[in-house]
Amino acid sequence: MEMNEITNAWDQYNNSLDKNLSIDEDKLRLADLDKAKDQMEYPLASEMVELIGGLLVIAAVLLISLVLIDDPKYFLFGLITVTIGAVYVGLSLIKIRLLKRVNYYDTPIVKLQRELAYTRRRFLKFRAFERLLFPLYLLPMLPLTSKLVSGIDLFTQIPLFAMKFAGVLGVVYLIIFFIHKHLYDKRFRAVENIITRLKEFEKE
Amino acid sequence: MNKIYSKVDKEKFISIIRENQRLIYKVCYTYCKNGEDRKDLEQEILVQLWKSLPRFDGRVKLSTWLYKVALNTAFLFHRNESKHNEHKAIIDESVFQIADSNPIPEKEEVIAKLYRFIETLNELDKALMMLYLDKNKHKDIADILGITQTNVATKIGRIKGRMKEYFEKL
Repeated sequence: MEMNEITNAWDQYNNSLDKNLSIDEDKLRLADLDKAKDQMEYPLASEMVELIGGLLVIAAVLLISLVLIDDPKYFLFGLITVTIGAVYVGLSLIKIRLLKRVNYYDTPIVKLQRELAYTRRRFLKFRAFERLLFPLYLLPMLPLTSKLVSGIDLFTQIPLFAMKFAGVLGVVYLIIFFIHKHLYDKRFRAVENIITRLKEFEKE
Repeated sequence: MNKIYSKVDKEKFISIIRENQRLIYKVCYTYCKNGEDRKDLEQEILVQLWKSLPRFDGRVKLSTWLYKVALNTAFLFHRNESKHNEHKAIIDESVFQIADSNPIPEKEEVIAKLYRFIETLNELDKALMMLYLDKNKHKDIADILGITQTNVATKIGRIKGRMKEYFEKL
């Protein structure tokens, strides 16, 4: 089949669409398009939730530290938790800034896809860092919550502290290992594939 | 920057959609084979057009701008496939209606073959092919895709070659 036959068929197809296609205008009139959430609002909303969650944890730990201010050990551990919490909040703010910076819809396609792929790659690296940081976040939180919830001073019961920490750490690292093996690596490879495809597409 | 539609009223929006319904329909048809997904993509495109229209500044033709928004939405829709169920429908059914009882692409043999060929292309080449078939200028295609005009010409040449081979094999 010759090229002009194909393009002629496409032109006829366009003509048929012009004749036969219509839109249900009433449906559009009734649709509340302002209220509809678009697909890119989800990652932003999820980061907002993480940011608010992080701020709430910081506020709670600060409060606990102030309650236990007489004991410098608890106060110090509280400060460590708050500092690490602040790192999480900082990362959330960076991610929100990255998401808000992207003009999702009227940017040229290759440019947008490239921006999104690089943003996704940075997000995945942040996530990996956040997961590795998590045990350090957990360590100072254990004696604080133990003291506040059950009144047990874990500093006077080092073997119990060590046991609890090792237990929690073991579970957390198992989860981290699972996430890395089954989700992170797969997603990272997918992003790298997109970047490679975009680079190939841009080549003449 | 001049905004042409600083405040878009619904009737103006409907008239823009009416004038460009063919374009939206074809983007949905090219990127979604499944009817349910197609309806979701159609809704996503309508929502994005509604929300993005106040940013249209008239530097390019409205149809070029619409293509950019529709194709970007289709690309993102593909990437976020697992999240489609989270999307709450604001329009129950498709707003597109076809008067002829048979949907056009299945009816015309050449068009059906052409859609099957387009299906074999990667998502960027699909866009390129559709823009080419719709007789967009190389300059406009380059603007929509974000590549050089020379690159557009080279790629179209390659795809045409592949298409010729594909049709010869059938």
